[in-house]
Amino acid sequence: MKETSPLFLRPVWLIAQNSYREFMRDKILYGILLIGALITASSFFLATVSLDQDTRIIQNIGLAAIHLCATVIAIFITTTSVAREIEGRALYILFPKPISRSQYVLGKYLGVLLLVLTTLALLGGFFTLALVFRDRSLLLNTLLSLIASFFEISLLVALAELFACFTAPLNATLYTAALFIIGHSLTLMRQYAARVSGPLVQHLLGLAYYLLPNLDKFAVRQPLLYGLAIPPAAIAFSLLYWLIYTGLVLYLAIQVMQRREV
Amino acid sequence: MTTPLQLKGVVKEFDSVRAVDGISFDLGPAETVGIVGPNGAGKTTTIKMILGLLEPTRGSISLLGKSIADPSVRRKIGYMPETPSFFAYLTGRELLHFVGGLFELPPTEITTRSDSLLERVGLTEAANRQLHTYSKGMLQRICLAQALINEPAVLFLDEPLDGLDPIGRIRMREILLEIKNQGTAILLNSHILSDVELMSDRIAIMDHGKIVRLGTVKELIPKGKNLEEVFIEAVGA
Repeated sequence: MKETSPLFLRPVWLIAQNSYREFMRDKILYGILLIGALITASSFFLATVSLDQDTRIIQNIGLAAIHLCATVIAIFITTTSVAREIEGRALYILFPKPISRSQYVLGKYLGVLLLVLTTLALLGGFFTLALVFRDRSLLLNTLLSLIASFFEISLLVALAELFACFTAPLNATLYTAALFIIGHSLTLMRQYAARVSGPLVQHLLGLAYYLLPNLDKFAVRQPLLYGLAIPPAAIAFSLLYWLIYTGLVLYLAIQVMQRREV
Repeated sequence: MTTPLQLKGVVKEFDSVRAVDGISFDLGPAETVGIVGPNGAGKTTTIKMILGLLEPTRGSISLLGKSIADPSVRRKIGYMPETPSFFAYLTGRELLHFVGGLFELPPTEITTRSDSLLERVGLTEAANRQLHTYSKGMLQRICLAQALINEPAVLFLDEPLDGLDPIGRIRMREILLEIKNQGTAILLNSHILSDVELMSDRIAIMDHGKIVRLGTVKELIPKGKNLEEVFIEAVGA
C-alpha cells in the first residue's frame, strides 16, 4: 500500500509512549520480573556454597538471569502486542489516522525498547544494589554487561517485530527464540564445521554465519568475568553490526507492514 | 464543493473470491448514506478499501477529491470500526489524548475536545477507567468519541449500533443524528434496518459484493412498504 506521508518523529514517539504505557500495565510483565529477581537473588545464595568462585558465580548467574528475563519479556511483549493490535482491530483505529505504517512499526519498536530499558534498569539496579555491599569492583563490568544486553535484545526485538508483522504470535515467538539460540551458536558451529564437515556444509554454514544474527558479538559477560580486555575496535564493529542489522530488519518489517492488508 | 467520497467500479478479490464486485456510488456533502446487506455482502470490505486498510483489486476511490494515502485527507476523516476491543490498558481519556495527538492537535485543544466528547457519549464518570473494564456499549461509545476527536468532515461508521442494549441504541442514535445535523457526511454500515432508514438520506443495498439497490429513502421504499420488505425483495431472501 503506497503512502505519501513523510517520516516524522512525533507520531513515532506518541505510539512508543502509548505502547510503553500499555506494557507497563500488563500484569504478566510483573510475573516475569519477579522470576528474574528471584533467580538474580539466588546467585548470591549459590555464591555462599561455592569454593573461591563466589564473585564469578554471582556475576555469571545474576547477569545471565537478567539478560534472559529481559529477552523473554521483550520477545513475548513484542509478538503478542502486535498480534493483539491486529486481531483486536486497534490498527483499524490507527491506520486511517494521519500516520504512516513505518511510523507505527518504529513507534512499536521504540516502545518495546523503553520497556527493555526499564526491565534492565529494574533488575540491574536490584543486582547492583546487592553487589555494592559485596564487591564494588564488579560494578563497571555489570554496567558494561547490561549495555551489551540492551543492544542484543534490541536486535532480537526488531526480529520479533518483523515476524509478528506476518505471522501468528506463537510462530513469531518461536522463530525469534530459535534465532536467539542459533545467534549464540554461530561462531561455535562455524569452528566445528571447519574441522569436521565437507565443503558444502562449510559454505552453507558460512552463508548462515553472515545472514543470521550473530549474537556472540554482544556476549561480553564471560570475557569481562575472566578479566579479558575487549578491544575498542571490536566494540565499534559490534555497534556497527547492530546498527546495520537492526536497521535492515526494521526496514523489512516496515515493508511487510506496508504491504499487509488488515 | 468537493465530493466527500466517490467510488468507481471498485472490485476486491481475495484469491478466487470476489468480495466486492464493481461498485460505484458517491457520498455528497452533509449527506448520510446507509449501506445494508446480509453478512458477507461486502459492506465492511468496502469501508476498509475506502480507508486504505485493504487495496482495491480494481477501480478508483476518491476521498475529498484525493487518495486516502494522502495524510491531509486522513486528517479530515473519522472511523468507528465494528466491535472494537483495543488498547485494553489505556483509560478512555488516555485513548482520546493519544488519538488527538496523532492528529497533532494542541494539548489544550485535546483536553477540551476530550472532555466535551466524553460528556457527549456519557462516559465522563468512566473516563479514567481502563478500557478492559468497559462494557461493549461503553466501548462502542468511546470508539465513536475517538472517531470525532478531529471533528471530521467525513465519518465512517461500521455497525455502530451492533450489540447495544435498547437504551444504548437510543442514546447512540441520538448522538449520530446530532452529528448528521451538524453537516458531517456519514457513511453508515449497519444491518439494523430501522436505524439505517431513520438516519440515512440515501440507502444502498448490497448483496454478493454488488449494490443491488441505491436511492433515497422515498425512492427506495414505496408507499405501504417498509425497508425490511424492500431489503428481502432485493437480496432474494
